[in-house]
Amino acid sequence: MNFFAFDIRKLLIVIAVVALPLLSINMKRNPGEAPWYQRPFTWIVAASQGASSSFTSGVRGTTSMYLNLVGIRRDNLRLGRENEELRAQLGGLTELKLENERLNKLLEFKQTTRMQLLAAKVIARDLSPDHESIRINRGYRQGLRKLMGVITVQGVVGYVLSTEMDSAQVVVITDRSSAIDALVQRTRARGLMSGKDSSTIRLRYLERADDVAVGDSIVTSGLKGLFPKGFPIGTVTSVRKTDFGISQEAFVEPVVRPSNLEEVFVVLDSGGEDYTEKLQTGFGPPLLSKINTAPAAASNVPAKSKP
Amino acid sequence: MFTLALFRGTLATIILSHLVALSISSATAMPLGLVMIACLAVALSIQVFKTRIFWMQSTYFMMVSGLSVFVFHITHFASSWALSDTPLTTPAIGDWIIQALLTPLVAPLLFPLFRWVDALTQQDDPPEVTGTITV
Repeated sequence: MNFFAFDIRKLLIVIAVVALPLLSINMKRNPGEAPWYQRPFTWIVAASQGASSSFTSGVRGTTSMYLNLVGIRRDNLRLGRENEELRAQLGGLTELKLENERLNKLLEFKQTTRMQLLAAKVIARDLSPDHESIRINRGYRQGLRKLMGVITVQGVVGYVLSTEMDSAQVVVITDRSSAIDALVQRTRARGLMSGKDSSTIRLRYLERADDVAVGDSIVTSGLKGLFPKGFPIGTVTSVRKTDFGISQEAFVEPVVRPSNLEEVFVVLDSGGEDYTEKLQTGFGPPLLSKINTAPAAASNVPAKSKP
Repeated sequence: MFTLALFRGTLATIILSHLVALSISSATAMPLGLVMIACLAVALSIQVFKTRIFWMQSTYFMMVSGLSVFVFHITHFASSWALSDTPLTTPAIGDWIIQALLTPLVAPLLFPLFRWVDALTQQDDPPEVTGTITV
């Protein structure tokens, strides 16, 4: 073979093709737009890369969604159960809070009085719709006796009708067979309080000359020490006086609603407690503290002075 | 008490009505005497009603239960006016009606139990009252 028998043109072409990359290494790459010969290639590559990226991210997203659904459902069920448990706890805690507030009021009342009181819970109500009585969870074993007064912080509830070992039946003041000695607080007129229906009681056997007006407060007389003197019973809503006769009667709205009773106090010993004095100093059951001593009603009979 | 009045003799019915009255009186402020009168009225009225209309089915038991509620409350109302110092002036008629409607709904559930007790005590079924209408 002849060493010198080669095509010079082919040799120059090869050198030029090989030398091009070496030339570009030495050139600077200026930031900015790509050179004109590179732009078509850049555009094609960019478009294909964008399409590929969109496709792969979509596939990844869909796949992960289906894979996560299993976990999401499990989390959802768990969170739902937790939510229900928390709601039930919240209901119980709310009930405890309300009971706490109620019991705090009862305790405060018990601590600030001279009376010997026994707290009791109402466990049952009267079977008959025409009678009003409750059953409490204290009986003769806890010191209860018949006719002992039963009260709440607001006012008079009734008195003990019968006792068993660990429970007692209490006739509520709204029962028609109940009878409690009572006074009109303003004029000290005296009568007998008995029930009429579930929302009304009446003060009977008031003397015709007694001064009783709508809005007057009716309180206990403290007779026999079954109730403390001056303890609220209710407010007069109407007065009935016949054209002839020696007595009159007043209809009274009781301060205590039997249907709302949950805890009560049994008065084991009234201790000579007198809420008339406490009214003077502005301290006593909530109803008493709101009572204003109203001026005597316009009548021909002068108001009786307090003893 | 209903089942005894329907399927037992008069003496057993009266004894049980007094026992029921004693049970009821411990759960109400109603005087014992009035409760006893009302229970007795229910028991005896069922006995009389049975001699006129009777068929051995739970539907009859339901009907008698509902009527008994009215008899009980009306007897209590009347006896409170006749015998008590504090008569019932504002009867809870709405409650009476609701009780009269709800009591028959419970009756069919108890009827099989009472029939089972009858079978256990080998009591004979009372005869159904039949008759013809003559014009």
